[in-house]
Amino acid sequence: MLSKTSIEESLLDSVKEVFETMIFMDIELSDENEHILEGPSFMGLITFSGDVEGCLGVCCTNPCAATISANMLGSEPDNHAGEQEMKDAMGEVANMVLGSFKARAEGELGKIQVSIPTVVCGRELNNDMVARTEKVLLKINLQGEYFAELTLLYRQTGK
Amino acid sequence: MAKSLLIVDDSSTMRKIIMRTIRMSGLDVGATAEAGNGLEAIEKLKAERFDFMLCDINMPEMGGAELVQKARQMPECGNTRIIMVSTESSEQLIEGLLANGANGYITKPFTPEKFHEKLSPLWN
Ligand SMILES: [Mg+2]
Repeated sequence: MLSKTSIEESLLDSVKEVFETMIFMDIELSDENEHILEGPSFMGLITFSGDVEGCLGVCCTNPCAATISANMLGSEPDNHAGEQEMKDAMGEVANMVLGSFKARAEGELGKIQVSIPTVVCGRELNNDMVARTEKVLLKINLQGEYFAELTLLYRQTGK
Repeated sequence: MAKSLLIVDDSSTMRKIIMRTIRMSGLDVGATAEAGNGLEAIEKLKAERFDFMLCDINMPEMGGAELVQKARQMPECGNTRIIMVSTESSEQLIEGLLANGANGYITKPFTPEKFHEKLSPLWN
């Protein structure tokens, strides 16, 4: 089993890889302690099962999701993205981050099967699960302009 | 010569990214079509011939592993090169797909250079 610190590091490396190569945004860890996501937001969610099971959520506000979607599609930033496009983009971000994390951590975590992503929209979205679950939370800053939160919930299944 | 492509992925965003990345990689692309899962892909493959099929693995309805097996039984796909494009990267899985008839494998996230490196040897 990986330590929580190395899970955090692997997760951060995965987010960086995905945002830098596919979304063309620089990311940094944020030192904000407060709840950083105000207003309507999107959360891309993807679950995994196997030797370790859990869920990854990638959450950001609507303007941030619009920028992510525009960058991924290579469209003009002021070309307003539709809700369906933003949802699709956020689901795929969660999928790629978890895929990249899995490649980094599977050696230590054991076999993991990944689900199809889903996306929810609303306010003050929270990614939580039942007892005996470890939680890693990364607050990140995108281009010095937006915030996003990544939550990884996981527990060993004893399989 | 320009090659025709079928891009299969459940994310419409990802299908567009794959299309753009292949064009950026400098490969000569002809007609293109898209499908959102394996079942849709089979319908497209029955209707039209494609030089290449770029194929995701985790998809609803029918995933990429099953699609490769089905496509390899279709006479229409005899000359279609199948390249998997997925976040899945376990060696065991990749070996199984290659044994079942896939011709190559690209992991997400990717760059135009990676597409060029993997696809150009199969392009001509
Ligand atoms: Mg997929």
